Amino acid sequence: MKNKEVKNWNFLLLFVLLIAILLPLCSAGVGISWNKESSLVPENTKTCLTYKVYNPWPDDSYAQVKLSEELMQIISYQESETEFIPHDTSSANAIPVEFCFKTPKIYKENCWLFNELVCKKECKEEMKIYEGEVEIIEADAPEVVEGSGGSATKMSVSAPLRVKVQCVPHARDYSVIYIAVILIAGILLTINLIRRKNKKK
Amino acid sequence: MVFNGKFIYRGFLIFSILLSLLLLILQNLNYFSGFSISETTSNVTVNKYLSITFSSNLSGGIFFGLISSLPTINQNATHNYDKNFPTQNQTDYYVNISTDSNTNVDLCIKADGNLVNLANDILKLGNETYANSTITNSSVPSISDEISLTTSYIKSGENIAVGEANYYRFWLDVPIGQQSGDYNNTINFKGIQAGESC
Repeated sequence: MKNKEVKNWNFLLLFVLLIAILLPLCSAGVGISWNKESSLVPENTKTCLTYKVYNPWPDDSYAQVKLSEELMQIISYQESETEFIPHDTSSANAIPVEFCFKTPKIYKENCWLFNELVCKKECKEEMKIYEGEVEIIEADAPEVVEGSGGSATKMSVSAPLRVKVQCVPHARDYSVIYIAVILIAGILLTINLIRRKNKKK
Repeated sequence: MVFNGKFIYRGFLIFSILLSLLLLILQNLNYFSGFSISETTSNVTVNKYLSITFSSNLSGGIFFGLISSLPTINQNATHNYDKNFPTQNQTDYYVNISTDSNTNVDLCIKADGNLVNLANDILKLGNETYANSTITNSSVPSISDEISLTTSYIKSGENIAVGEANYYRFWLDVPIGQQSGDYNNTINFKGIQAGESC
């Protein structure tokens, strides 16, 4: 009986030792899941992309979502800068993070009036590409304890992203001229009809 | 029926209005028909995912202990040789690639700047070095492969397979004449899809 008890204690001790050895082997981590590396967007258009963050490790983590400098030029909306990622969040259950971009007006137009009106676009320029990365940075990284020299450590993961700005060619737009003709002709017609009415009186 | 000048004038105005209206509609037909050129097209649909974590000693920071004689060359970080399972004297600084990844990973490393103390004295970053390897034992990663840290990301591990680890050792030189104090900085590790640039 005593032998059995000792065996059980030994087994328990071994189990605790094994856990104690294995547990400190990993900490919280960060993961990124993506299914788009490039997006073709017409100029002056808003488009949204979704990336996913996950943490398959045993500790909870906080992650900061950061876009590289070049992409920051065109970002118009970022859902959240810091995300809480619970432990054991697998890639299949990754948490989506949405970004929206508004592409600028880049390509030149050939205009007849005031550089704005009666324009046509030929798209002879090279396609503008904003190339950068979406980076997920561990947000709760410990600072180095004061009074101890050394380096704090931070981890991140990233995915590449290219936003290609598409030029959409169009023929000269005469709408302003048509509207002007409609207005002028309408005014002249109205004046003419009013005069006619007054004469009849 | 008699067409006088005024009738022709009015007819011309009405014709101008109608013609302009027609041309305006034709010009903007795309808009009226609901066809918009501002649709978004994406051209890659392959799903990729990767995740990394630190060993607990790497997560806690890299320390070089108390240095009391100068100059000191290649002072070992405190956990460079203290992992003794399954073999002796392995490094306890490593980055794990999760098995829940579907792409091999390259690791990039950089520091945020020189090591600085509270009095703003500087220990130049070039004095902090590292070596890395996908295996570890008492001699690997080896000091003969040491590389100085820089403030830009450089590749520190390439094509690390899913479920594998990348092991590191760190060393610090402290030149003669260096002011006393606790010097700190931050080292960043970034996991990227294998083959991409840092």
